[in-house]
Amino acid sequence: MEAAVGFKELTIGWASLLEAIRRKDIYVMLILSGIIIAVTGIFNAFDVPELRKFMMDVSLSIINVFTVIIAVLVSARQLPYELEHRTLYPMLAKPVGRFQFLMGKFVGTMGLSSAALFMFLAVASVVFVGFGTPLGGMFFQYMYLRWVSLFLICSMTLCLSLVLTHAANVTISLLLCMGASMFTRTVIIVHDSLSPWQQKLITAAYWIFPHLDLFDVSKRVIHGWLPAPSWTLAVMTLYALIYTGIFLGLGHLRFRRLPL
Amino acid sequence: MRPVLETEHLRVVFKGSSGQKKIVAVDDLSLRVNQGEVVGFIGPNGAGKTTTIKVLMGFIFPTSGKAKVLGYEAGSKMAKSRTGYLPEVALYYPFMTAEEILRLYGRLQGIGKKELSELIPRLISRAGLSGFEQLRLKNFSRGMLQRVGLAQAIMGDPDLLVLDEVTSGLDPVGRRDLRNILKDFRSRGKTVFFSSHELSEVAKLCDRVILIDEGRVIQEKSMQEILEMEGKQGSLEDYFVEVVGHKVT
Repeated sequence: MEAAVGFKELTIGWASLLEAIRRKDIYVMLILSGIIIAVTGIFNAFDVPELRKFMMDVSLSIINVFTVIIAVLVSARQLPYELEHRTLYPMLAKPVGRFQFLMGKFVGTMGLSSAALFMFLAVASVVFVGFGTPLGGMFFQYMYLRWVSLFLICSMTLCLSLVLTHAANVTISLLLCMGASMFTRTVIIVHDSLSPWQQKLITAAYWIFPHLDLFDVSKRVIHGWLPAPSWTLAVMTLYALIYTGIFLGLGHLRFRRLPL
Repeated sequence: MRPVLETEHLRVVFKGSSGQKKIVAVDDLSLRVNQGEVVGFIGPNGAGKTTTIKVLMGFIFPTSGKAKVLGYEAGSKMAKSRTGYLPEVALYYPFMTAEEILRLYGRLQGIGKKELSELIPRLISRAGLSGFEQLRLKNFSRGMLQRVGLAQAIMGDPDLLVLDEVTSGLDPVGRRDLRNILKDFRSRGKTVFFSSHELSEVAKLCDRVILIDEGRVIQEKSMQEILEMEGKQGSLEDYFVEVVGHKVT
């Protein structure tokens, strides 16, 4: 029974993946980022260590930004597209539950975002190795944590797509993803200068909002840090999966009784 | 006889946006369709036909009352596994081909890979889409999409067919193909419940007619009864206009 459930989710996910591949707009982002990463690789030719760090910084920042954009844009359009174009009626008329449908969409967005991430990383790896920058253990931890963060980003955006308009969802999701580190820094700086109730409010927000900045260890890669202990990765994985579960659960609560 | 489709005092109320009043789409609607029947569900625009069908498929939830399909709660997986459904506005993934979309629905129906590879060419041929199986659906006309919809609805040989505005977009050949499919279903003891504004088609296809207006069942009559009615009502359209009191658009 479980295998059959997984199969249906994979089938729905496959349809989402096929759509993204055939729509072709994702290729523009992949080609553009590939070119930027490859061009920054030229800095290595000067054999200046600081320039090498700059090249890595630019490359990894591009990977961070573009994977987030792809994950958010793909996840944000899944359910609104189905609802707007009524393509979900024949799907949900088959013996498919609404949670299965939601999970199928999540599988599809994860599949596409993961494929994009690994393509970016493949290009970056070729450029780094090609210009004599070895890929250390930290780089692979960076890859893994970026991938784990996609679970959180895709589930959050899918969930928000059920309560917000498309434009609002994309804006808020991108702000939450890209502004996470800024928010954390701001909270730490302003906390003591706030009134007690403001402190409580901002502390609550600090603990409620997912800290996507924790999944970005690109600076450690650039500055040649040693890999973090494996328990750290386990905790981060658990953190991401808990939030993923919460977002998919909330999404299901909204979607299960949504009049279609 | 065993009811295949049943509603009891079904009521669906749509909440209006702030400041607007609620809309009662279906009001105390009770109906029953037995096994082996082909039943036409007719009524003027806004009568509540599509809303009722959406409740039966589990797309919207009744405000009160009950709806059962094949003895199961409407919208349950058990009910859906034996029901074929054609939506009112047939929209399918435009980036897929007819063959791909049927494969997708077949997988969701739980049909095996080997069985699907035999079934899909048969369905494509039966729906009159031979030669178009590799064409993406974005290039299909409305009538061709309706044929795709029909093919996915009859996939897996369901016990019940629920068809919303079934003749919409179909050309005369398509309508004849549809009639043949429905006759085949009836001859094998299957049940068909469909809505349509094409009353001449309804008259050709169904055993019984359920007429609704303003969310309520106005009348239920067998086609035989309608055809035998004396006097001014010589056709289903005359009967419809007489009962509902305004013209069909």
